[in-house]
Amino acid sequence: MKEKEINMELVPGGWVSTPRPAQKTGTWRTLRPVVDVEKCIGCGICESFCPETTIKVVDGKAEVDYEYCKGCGVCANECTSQAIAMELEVEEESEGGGY
Amino acid sequence: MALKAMTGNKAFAHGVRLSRVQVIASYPITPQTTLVEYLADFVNDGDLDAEYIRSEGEHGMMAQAIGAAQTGARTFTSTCSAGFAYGFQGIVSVPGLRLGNLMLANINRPLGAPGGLQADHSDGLTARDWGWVYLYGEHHQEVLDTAIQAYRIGEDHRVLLPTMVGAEGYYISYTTDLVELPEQEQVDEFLPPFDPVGVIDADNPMSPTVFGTTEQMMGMKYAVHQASLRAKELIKEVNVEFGETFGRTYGNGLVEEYKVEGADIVLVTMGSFTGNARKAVDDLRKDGKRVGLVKIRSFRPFPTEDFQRIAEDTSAFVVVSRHDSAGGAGAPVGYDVKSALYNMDERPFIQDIVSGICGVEISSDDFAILAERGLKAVEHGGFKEDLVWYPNMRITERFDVPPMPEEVKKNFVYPGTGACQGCGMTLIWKTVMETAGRDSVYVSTSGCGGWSGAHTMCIGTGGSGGNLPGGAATAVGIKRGLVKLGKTSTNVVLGSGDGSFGDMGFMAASGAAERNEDILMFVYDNQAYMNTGMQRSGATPHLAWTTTTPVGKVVRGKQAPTKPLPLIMAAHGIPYVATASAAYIPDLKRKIKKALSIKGCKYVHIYSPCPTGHRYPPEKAIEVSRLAVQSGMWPLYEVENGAYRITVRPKEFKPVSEYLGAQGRFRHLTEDQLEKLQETTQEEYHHLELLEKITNEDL
Repeated sequence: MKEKEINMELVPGGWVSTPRPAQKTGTWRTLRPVVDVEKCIGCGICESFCPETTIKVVDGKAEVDYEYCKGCGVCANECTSQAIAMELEVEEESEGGGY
Repeated sequence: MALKAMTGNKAFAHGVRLSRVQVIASYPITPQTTLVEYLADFVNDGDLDAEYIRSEGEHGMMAQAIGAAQTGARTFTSTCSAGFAYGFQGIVSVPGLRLGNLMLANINRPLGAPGGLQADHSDGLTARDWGWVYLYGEHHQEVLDTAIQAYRIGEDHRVLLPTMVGAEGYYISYTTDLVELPEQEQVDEFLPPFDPVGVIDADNPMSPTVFGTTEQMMGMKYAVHQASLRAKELIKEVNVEFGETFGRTYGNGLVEEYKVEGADIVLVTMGSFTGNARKAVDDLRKDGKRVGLVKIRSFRPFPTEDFQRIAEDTSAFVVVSRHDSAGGAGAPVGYDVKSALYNMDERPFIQDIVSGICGVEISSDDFAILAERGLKAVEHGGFKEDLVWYPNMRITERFDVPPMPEEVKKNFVYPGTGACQGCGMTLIWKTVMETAGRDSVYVSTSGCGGWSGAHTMCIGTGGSGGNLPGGAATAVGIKRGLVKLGKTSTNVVLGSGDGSFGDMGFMAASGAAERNEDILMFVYDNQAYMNTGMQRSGATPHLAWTTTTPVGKVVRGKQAPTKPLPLIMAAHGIPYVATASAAYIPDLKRKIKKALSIKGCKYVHIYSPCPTGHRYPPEKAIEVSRLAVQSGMWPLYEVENGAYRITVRPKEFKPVSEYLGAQGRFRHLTEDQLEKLQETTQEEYHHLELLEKITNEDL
């Protein structure tokens, strides 16, 4: 039986100066927003409504941060150019247990 | 009798139902909440004939419970952690009022900062000294059985003290176990109706004494002390009788001993981790090591005599406290064990262990390690240390906080929050804080906003977490501090949920408004206590389904209308009040900008879609929010120095059924109810137009 230990360095009160995301929320996703760059007009509606700041217009086209995008689908639903499709998330190079 | 699988909170709720409780005072707080949700189901389905009070906060909840108990009605309430602390003024009064017909379920969770949601005894143990009969349950069946026993003990005229039943969060509250549900007839026989000594009743006028002569008050305190000591016999007696009726007993009622006979060292535990300790005892006994266990079932009254008896035949106690007493001579449970034994001629060695704090797991291996240490101490003539923390703590503190990197400052809100998919709150955070700019600090309150990230995790402007009732007050304190330190330009922004701001925190909010404190308060209104799992708040719309306003066989949805928070805030006469919506971002931005250009107290009330709680797919979040405005159910307006102005006026109103029909929480509405809601919505909108007219005219 091994004795347990809690070993860490702390700041009193836990003050932090850099936000620490709770988790890589991209793993929550079952549907993935895919931007059709042909249709995207870079209007920024998706960016303004994204609850997670994970879709941004970069160089005139919407780009998704898949590491954190939760796949809610608000961007696709609100896009007036129908430039975003929600596609079933498929685990690449699945080692079993994927879709 | 059949065994049924259920969570600990459900087992507890059945205990309350079977006890034929007559008044329930409730308020959500994790991990207690599902207990009162199950009770709401029982009441709305007609399975429990009780008055159910959906309180505005634990302070009120305790007062409601006290008031109800003073009428002689059998009363139940339930809380934990911060809620326990908020209700503390009431909690400390109940024993002195001798309300034995009041039971409080304490679903144990850490209290204070740093906090947590998991099991910890710091909440209930703070109420050690007031005269509550405090019983801890180890598992689901014991919790159910103890709930029934509690009223028998407390209501007996030899005791007349309220009972608190402790059950640890998560380990008991949310796990599922097999439970035997007693028959109602048997419970009725076991637990007769309460025979009160005094009651509040206009036909028989009388009042309890709270203040009297000093001698009288000391006398009443002594009577509580004596009654608490007398409860020991009652607890034992009730344990035996319960066994005769239901076939189950728990030790002698006060303690449950396990393989104590012939033990060199005895572990002392309380609560659900006793199971792990029991396994450790079994494992060590197999190796021939003489280890036993005492589970404290009754923490108050404390089983002094039992410990003295057990101490006669053991060499050491290892007492595990799931709470600390910082700077003290021991740990909270050990204090009592040591006091009980000090005047004996020969005392065993005692070691206090502080463990399992803030939900840290204590496994059977851990208990075995602690027991082995005890065996060694016996060999070596005593413990080297009187008190130790376990796991072994290697904590160092450093005192520098590096400045926020410039790269990080580019964003105001970072992704990776714990908020649900399609949450309006995070969208509102982003919009408000980007508009407010870097010379701002953010104050969150508990709830979705506090727990799913806020300042330490995702909001890049720094700030503080206010408590649920004190969000506005925390913002005021920060503003005043900054002003005093010369940082007068900094925007102090409070982001609060509708429940924390409008129910429990309204006193602080109203105080800030009345003094015209120079802060911006915004509410992300998701129209219920969503973080704890969709319980109704004052802001919940009329007839909406929530987990505490379930659509039952008898009562369907929330019976009270919505509390009109923006109008109430405007009535304070503060310089700026506005409503806004997550679906109208430019309007929201403009209002935040305008608010922050004004000195004084500002309030912006923002519709926040909640797909999880409003029951629709997440991608519809903005679409549904837009419908709220287009149907007139969420009018967008501002009130500047008393003048109302509607800022977004739908050209053509959509029927409210289109907005309501898009959400599962209104699925049960009848045609008649929809028609009535359509009428009310039009009336209220018309009222707003009239306000707009008269406040802009020269009268």
